[in-house]
Amino acid sequence: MPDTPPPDQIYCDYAATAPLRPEVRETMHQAGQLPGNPSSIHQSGQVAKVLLERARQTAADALGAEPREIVFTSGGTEANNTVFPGLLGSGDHVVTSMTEHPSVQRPLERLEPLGVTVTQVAPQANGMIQAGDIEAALRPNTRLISVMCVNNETGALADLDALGDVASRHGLLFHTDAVQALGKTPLDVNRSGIHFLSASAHKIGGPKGTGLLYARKGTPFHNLIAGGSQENSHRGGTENVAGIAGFARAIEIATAEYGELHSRLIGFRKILLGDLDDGNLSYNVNGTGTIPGIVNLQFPGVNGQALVMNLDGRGYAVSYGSSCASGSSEASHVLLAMGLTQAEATSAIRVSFGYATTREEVLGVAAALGDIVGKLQSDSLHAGKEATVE
Amino acid sequence: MSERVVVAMSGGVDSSVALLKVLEAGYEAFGVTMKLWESRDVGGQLLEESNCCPVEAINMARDVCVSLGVPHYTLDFQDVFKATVIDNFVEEYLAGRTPNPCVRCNSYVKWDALFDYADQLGADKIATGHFARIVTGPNGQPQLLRGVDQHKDQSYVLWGIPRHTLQRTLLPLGGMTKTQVRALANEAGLATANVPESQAICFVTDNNYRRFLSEHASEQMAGVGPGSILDEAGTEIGTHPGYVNYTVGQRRGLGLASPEPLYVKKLDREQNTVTVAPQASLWGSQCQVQELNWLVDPPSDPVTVHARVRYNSTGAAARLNFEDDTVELHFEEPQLAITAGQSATFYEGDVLLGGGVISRVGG
Repeated sequence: MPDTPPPDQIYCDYAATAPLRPEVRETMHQAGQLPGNPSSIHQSGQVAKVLLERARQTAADALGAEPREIVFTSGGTEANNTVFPGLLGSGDHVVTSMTEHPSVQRPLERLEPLGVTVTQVAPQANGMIQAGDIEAALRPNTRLISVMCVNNETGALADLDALGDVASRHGLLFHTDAVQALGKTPLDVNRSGIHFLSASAHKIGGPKGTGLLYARKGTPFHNLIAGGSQENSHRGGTENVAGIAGFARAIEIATAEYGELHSRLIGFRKILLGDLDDGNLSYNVNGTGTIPGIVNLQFPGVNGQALVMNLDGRGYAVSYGSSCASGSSEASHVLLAMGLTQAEATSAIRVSFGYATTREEVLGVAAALGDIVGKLQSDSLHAGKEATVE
Repeated sequence: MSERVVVAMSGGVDSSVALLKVLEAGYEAFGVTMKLWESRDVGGQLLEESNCCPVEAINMARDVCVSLGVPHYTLDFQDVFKATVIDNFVEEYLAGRTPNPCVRCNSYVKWDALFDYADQLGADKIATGHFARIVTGPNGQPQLLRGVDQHKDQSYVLWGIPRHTLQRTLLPLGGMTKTQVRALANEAGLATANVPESQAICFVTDNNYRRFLSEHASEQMAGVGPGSILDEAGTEIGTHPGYVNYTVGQRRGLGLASPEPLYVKKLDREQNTVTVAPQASLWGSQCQVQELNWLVDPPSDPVTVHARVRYNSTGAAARLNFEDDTVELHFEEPQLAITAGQSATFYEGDVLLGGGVISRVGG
């Protein structure tokens, strides 16, 4: 174990990653002790293989899919990266949205020099991607629609059924990045006419570094990682057995407790916003029709990053836009696409709750927000007045 | 409740030990690393000893903070750094002067933008790993003093910080030697204990400012072409590919055959000439200093101080005469290669009185 114990914090950043569920840790611990390679002939291999295929069944069940349509990957990013390159070629057109995750936007950009054209459709001011707007962007050479199910920054929920209907009426393929959706909203690949769906384990209390790509049988599939014939020859490399077993365990629990957790999160959202209202703070919620667990809040006149740091100092972990690794503070492309100004977008933070969040924690973060924002807003008002006097 | 201190962490050993000392003193501390530039924006191959700003440096700073149990944040100051430091660096070279970007970074980024951020984080003070001291003077006001380690003293690059920030600044290394700092870092097992010293200008990663200018300011550099190298009498004795390639006092790279060594004495942007001379001719006693900043009550009558006109000089006695908002600096003994664009700092004993930028060399 590292010599740096985890800080004693109230964790309100489930959209970045959820804490590993204890049951998942136990499953992974057991699976990690299995010596076998699932591809081996011997019994050690057989046990590992059975574990792997049971996990595949669990994942398939959660999506209304068949086990052979599930390809386990290293995460949502790999799943998204796998979808496009083999599918799209010179002359093909893709309709996607301006609010996609970088793991959809960047792989599509890479195909543009090869003759693939990409249209990014703007969201409504509330963050939603309208099926009608997607349909209006179609061209005769459109081959694929790729729209995320739940936005990672605002929680905005797309109408997958309507999008799938557009795809089906025009004979197009439909991909959805469901990394933030799995376990948070019901998913059914057949009802929604989905051809490809990406998901990740760690957003629902599974391990980091494990994900899946659903690929409808009969649709063209391109191997991103060439190698052995693992994953039905769809992804080379010895399978991450413990991670995949943990992923399946997390899916089981998330499925079982979905209804109850969903109502609990609706309640938490009300408490948070109610407390902010009571505190007479000036704020906006970015996005409507969102999943309850993600709350994107904008506080006029407040530097969002400084607010996150202040909350951290008070023991609350929240995030500024999506998690950013490089230390840059660029404004969120999602919020800008929704029509926020640069100043508005940099004054927003994301609070996200999940399976282990308690009412006390929500009350705590609401109180801390009230305190800090109140102070920062009065400082900035003060600074503004001084500037006017000069 | 103890005071909150923001410690500016570069990812090097000095600022790491500054954090250690701040914690020892009983403050509630947290570390910040200012992201000043992106490697892809400044170009060049990173030198091993260039330890500011790249991801590795941020990682080192975070490692030290986490192992000492304090938060660490990366602050994106790229815009303010470009506007106040990099753009000026380019302008100064194009004007035929030799800029001192570290001075401007301290004045406009660390002791301005960082203070602004410190306020938003509810911090009472900031601390850095500079080798200089802040001590309460006889009038009860804080004064900035040289660092005790004479070889490491960094007061020269701090003359431009706003005076009112002294009371909110901690410089915990001012009383220590570099050897003591390393020893303390090793004793504490800090990840940065053996990070090599950084000497270069942080954003000129390969220490090649000519490469930086040609890549970063290619438009302006397009107007800089070949010209004449003149002797002191104004006779052409060679040619140069562009005056920005030279700094006053430079000897190497002139490509001149001469019985005695020749040094760059003067750069003339208008005439596009570089004037060279024997070393004896580079000694001068006088210069004009502008953009003054005082860390004590500003003097107005002529005063004798100890003045430094470059980072690596111990300085010498000089007389300051005031004219409007500029100062005429008269050294008692001639100094070698006083260079426009460099900083002049004024001391009384160990106390840094203030400083400015050398705007004109000679009388």
